Amino acid sequence: MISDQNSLTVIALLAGPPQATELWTLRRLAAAGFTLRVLQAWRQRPPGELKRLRRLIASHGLSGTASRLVGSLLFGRYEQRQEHDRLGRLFDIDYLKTWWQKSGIPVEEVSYLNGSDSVETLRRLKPDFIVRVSGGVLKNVVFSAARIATVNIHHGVASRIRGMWSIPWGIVENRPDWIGATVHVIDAGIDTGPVLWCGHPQLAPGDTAVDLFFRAHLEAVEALVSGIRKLSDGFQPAHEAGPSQAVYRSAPGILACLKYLAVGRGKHARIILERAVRC
Amino acid sequence: MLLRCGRRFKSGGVIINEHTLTAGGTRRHVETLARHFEFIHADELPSRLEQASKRPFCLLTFDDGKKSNATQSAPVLYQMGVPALLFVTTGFLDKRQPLWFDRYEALIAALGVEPPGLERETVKHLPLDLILERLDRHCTENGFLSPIGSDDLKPMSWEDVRHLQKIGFAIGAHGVRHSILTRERREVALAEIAESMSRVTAETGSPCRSFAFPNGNHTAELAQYAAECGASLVVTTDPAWVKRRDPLWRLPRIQLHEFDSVGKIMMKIVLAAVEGVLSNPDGTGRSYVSSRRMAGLCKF
Repeated sequence: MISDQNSLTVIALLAGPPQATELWTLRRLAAAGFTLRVLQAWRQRPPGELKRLRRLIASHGLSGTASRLVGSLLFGRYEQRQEHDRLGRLFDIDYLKTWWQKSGIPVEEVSYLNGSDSVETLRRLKPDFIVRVSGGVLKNVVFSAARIATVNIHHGVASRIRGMWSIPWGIVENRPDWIGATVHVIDAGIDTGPVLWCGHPQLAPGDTAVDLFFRAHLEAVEALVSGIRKLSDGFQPAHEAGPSQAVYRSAPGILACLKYLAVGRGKHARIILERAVRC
Repeated sequence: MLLRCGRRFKSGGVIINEHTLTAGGTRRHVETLARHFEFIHADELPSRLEQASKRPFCLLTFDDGKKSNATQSAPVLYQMGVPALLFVTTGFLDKRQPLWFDRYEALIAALGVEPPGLERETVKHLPLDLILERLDRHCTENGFLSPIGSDDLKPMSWEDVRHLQKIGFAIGAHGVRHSILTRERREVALAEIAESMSRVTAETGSPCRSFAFPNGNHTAELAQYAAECGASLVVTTDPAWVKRRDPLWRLPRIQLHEFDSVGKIMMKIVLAAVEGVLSNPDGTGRSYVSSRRMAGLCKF
């Protein structure tokens, strides 16, 4: 399966307009010399909020779902805006937006990533690789449309923690071993696919979850590019022993949100402060 | 108040962190500190922490390796018989290019605004390669040339370093590029420590025994790695007095500046004895208090 790496077709999946983190990934993929195209969905998920709510209640219970909804209402949007602003400055969003406008990277628009128009487009484009740059969980029919693999960056150590908000969860639950990033091939599970790379940023006093996310992402994007090259050369990543034992965490409930704020988004967390005095 | 601090820390003292001083500034700082402290050489520090003394000690340190350390401060210190420890940024001395933060300050002064992506509260959270990429881009876009005029911006030469060592000053390492080591990948940070220490050893002909964290940002892992590389003293910028129980691989320092008045110098030293009043100039605020509390170095 040895390929000419410069002729590799890579399709980046985006849900909604690209933010700083996504633009950084796209810029690095474009700089790597792949034939890059973007499949951009204008909606995060198909209509059907009620169905989604029923599914949430089934998996988290009524009180768990209520806690998540309250957490999201009171904290989620404000916090997301703060994080976007901070990541925008760290990644230099103005420069990245200018680059994106001038890049000339072809964009295919679809209604949502798991939709039939998305599948049709992917089949027509016949990509060697699909990279999930943003968006939710992909359906089998989408991630199997890549000739070689569909790859994802999980912002957490996948052998220890799967799901979303992994770095803040590491802070909230005093688990430094959860903090990092993983580049993996997407399979039917959530963050359970074969691992191409996993790394941890240094934790140091003064760091917040956003700083750690930023540094983890910088390293992960480099690893993503080299992972794609390795896969195209025939490398077969092994399933790590961990994923089956990894805990799964989704959106935080109100208590986790409050604890996260109480530790200054990481700044005053024990696992961060103790790095100055303990190895 | 200061005498009371002194009595409390009979076996302790302060490590002062300077960067660039004029000859007059050096004299003023030394005269102010000499009223209450006994200046010591870096080699004396371990024994001074073990034994109580009539007066608390003061170890004077200069960071970066700017030419003015050799042309302005060292002659005054030599004349006054005051020892000092100079931490040099080895790549700065080798390449003779301005340090990134001097370029940054000069760019802001020229533009009149902080360039996007290089805001003050952002820049010290970036790995050095990103800072340099953005600095280069903004300098090119604005036709701005790097400043390297005065002795406060120029590096001293390795010849200067050897001469200073010969006349009694101690020389330590301060990284290769003055990157903030906690923002770098772990391997890069460790390499910066090892390379800068081995470069100082190679140029001075004697083992490099001390390391200062650029900007002060540190972790225990990096500090202990510097100790493994041969550093018997590793210093930060935690603004506190040095106490008997302080490990030599993570010593606090109080930062002073050329423009600090006599009153301000004394105020900083008194407040540093309290711990938790002064902010750490490395940008981590007062989190050093919690860290030191975790290590059992201060009580509340």
